[in-house]
Amino acid sequence: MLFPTVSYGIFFLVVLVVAWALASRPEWHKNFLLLASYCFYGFWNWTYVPLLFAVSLGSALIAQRIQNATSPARKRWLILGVVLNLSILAYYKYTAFALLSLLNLWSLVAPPPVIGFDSPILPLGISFFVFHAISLLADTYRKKLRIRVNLRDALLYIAFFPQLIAGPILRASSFLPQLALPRNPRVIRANTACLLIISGLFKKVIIANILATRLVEPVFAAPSRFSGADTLLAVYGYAAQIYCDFSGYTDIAIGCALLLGYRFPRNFNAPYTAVSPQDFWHRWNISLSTWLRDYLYIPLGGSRAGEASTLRNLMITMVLGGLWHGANWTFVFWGALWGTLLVIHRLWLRVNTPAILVLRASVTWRWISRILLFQAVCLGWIFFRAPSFHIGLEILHRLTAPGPTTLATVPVVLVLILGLFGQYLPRRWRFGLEIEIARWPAALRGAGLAVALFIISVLGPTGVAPFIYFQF
Amino acid sequence: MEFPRHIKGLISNRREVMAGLAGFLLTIALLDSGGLAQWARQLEIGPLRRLAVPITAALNQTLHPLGIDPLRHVLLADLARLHWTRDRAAQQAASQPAPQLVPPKAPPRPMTPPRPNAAMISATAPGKPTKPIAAIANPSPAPPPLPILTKLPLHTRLPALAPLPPGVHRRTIALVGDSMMAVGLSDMVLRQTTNDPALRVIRAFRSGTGLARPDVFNWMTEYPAMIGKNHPNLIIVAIGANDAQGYVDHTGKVLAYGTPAWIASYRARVTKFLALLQASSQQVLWIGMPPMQQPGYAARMRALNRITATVVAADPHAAWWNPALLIGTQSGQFRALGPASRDKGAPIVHLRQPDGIHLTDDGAGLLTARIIPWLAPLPLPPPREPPIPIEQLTQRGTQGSSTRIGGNAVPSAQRPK
Repeated sequence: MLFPTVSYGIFFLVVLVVAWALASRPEWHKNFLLLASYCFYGFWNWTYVPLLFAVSLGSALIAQRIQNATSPARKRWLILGVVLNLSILAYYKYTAFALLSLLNLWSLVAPPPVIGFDSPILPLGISFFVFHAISLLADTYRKKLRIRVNLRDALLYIAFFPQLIAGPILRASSFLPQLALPRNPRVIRANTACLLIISGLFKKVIIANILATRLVEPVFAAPSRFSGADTLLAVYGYAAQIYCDFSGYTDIAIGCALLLGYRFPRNFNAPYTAVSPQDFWHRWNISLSTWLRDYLYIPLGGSRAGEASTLRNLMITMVLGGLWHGANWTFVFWGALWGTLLVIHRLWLRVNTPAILVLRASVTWRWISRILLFQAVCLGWIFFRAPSFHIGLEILHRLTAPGPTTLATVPVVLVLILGLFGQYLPRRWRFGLEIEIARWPAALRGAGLAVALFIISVLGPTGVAPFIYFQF
Repeated sequence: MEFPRHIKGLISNRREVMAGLAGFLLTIALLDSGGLAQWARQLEIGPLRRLAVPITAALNQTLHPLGIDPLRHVLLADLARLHWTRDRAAQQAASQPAPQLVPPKAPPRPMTPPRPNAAMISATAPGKPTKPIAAIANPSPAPPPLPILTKLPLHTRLPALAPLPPGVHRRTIALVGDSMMAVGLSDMVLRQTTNDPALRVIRAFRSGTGLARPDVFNWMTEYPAMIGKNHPNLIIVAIGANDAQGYVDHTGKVLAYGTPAWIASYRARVTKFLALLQASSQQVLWIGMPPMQQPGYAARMRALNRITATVVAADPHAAWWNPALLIGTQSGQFRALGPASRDKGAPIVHLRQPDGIHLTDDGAGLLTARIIPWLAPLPLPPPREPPIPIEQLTQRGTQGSSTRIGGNAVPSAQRPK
């Protein structure tokens, strides 16, 4: 069930009404949300509902053991839980990748053995619900959870439908306390939620879909058919598409959760306005980057053991972060590219001559950094999007091909500009709009939401492509 | 920035949310009751559809007299005039007088699924007599159709390529189908024909479509628009991945998937679609659905293949090609991984997407390794061979499902031609 569909709209409206009707009975309210979440997941494929349940229940039970155990046993339970979760993720997502890589290495020296194996079908959202489960285990182990782990609440935390398929990745320590409190029917940030939903739909249905179908897909399918101008547009177009696609998804997810009375963390903060690689990861997929920081980079040693190990930890974190996105060497390369950028930036920051310090403080340098970083981000996106290195390299090669553009139509250019430069719009504009509509009667606000959705559905292409991050 | 809770109206209570919801529902019903009715009709056959169709139809009929629901079509037509949209429906609407936003005088007619619009067919195929348009929409009485194949032909081969008409030096190929064409296969064909001046490729595929649900996407009306004024010499089709489902036929009768009525209806649709393709082309190559990973879905696709293979076998200008032995195991079963080519030492790669349905680029490459050499070089002198009668298409062993990874998976003597 995709967010921008009538089916999801009706599903969500039913859930919204029933959930608030049950707000005075918290246990029923949460049971209902859990049931709705499993229905939401089962709508895609019921086959994998037991897997989601098993991962959630297993992690919740282990989290309870961690809470009840004494020091040495706590760590053993944590290791068991993390290994189990990572094993499930590895089996579904990485077994074939590892096997293929091994066999292809083997074939360099001898004919590889014949093995009977078919990679399993990848369950939707497995990377996300496994990361939620690990967050539950780690937060419990680190005693960040100040409440007892309740089985039903833990199941709901992992399966809660607005974040189930593609995040944002919630922390157990921030979400379970919300579940422990009854919903307050007098405090609902409905205006913020509706604006987020409209903004998310606009970004996904109009910007991302138009760019995908009219610009990015044709060029990445057969780059050699297009000129350098078209190829460059497609690369920038993919930068706008993936941002609008993913941030659009999380806007809708955050908006839906807010309407139900739950707060999700912000996941994007105008990432293409970043001025450094570090700044970018503070703005892009924030929930994933902080997850990797807290549960991978810091346990690896973080920046506590000297510069060399810091750089190593950065590289390991980014390579594994790349691999998390997909079982393909192009994702590993993408992660390694980011690791390299972060390492170079860290080394650059150590150059502290007076002239450099003055330069760094200047507005001009900020803009130069911003533009250079955006080119580096786009270089990474080429390999993130390309199905193989061959196509990625061909895209790079085609950037220099002469010829006119055939894809730069008015709608494409318009949505490209909106997708890239919309991030420079001041946030206070949104607050201003929110304050303005707060003056309207509630029914009129609902009518305004309906009109906005109608306009978006008219402006967007027919049919809705799945969100890019669903595949991860 | 701290949330300014003190500003009145920024925080809503439950009653305000419900009032907003009421305003939302009322407005959306007024603006787009037709869209809601259409959504309900497009649902898969089942309890939800049985519930939603009468409710949304009643809502639409109640609100229709207000005359607001043509608004969507008016806006789409305006957007098409501004070249904003490329949707067929909008372009059609743009070419017609804009609907009036006033209540209609006549009572609303009950809604029926769109009918195939044969008048849209305008392309003619050089070198081959074109069937009259009326004959496609309303086929003349024909002899009783052949029974549906009970066994799927496993070993098929590409037919002889039809010679180009005199004076034509470049073969135009249309790639037609759903996501089975859009994902992997079309990309590989486009990439591998880029530098061939003797080949021209037209993209005429669309994911999420099929022949079962013309109410969602009607290939009979959309295809002519997709192909435009082109006259392909060859059409390569891969379609059907979304078709193993029940549907409501044009009389309003619900046809459950797999029933004799469904099979007859689907067969008729395939026949009409093939006739539509033949009307604009010299030759059609119909690529069957590859073996699928999930057993239930795989069985449905095999059943679908039997229908399409039966229909295509009856057409002398079309050929049905089974990709199972190329993309699957030696016995035509699913395999996710395998050698990227028949070359010794070829790397082992993913042949299928993680969904166990679509082809990866590497998987599609196994098919294009046959298709591209077949298309080239030009000119093409081979004598025209009659298509392989279905009864001559043999089926060999279907036992064994173990996938071989590594080594030479398919002995050369057993490879399909």
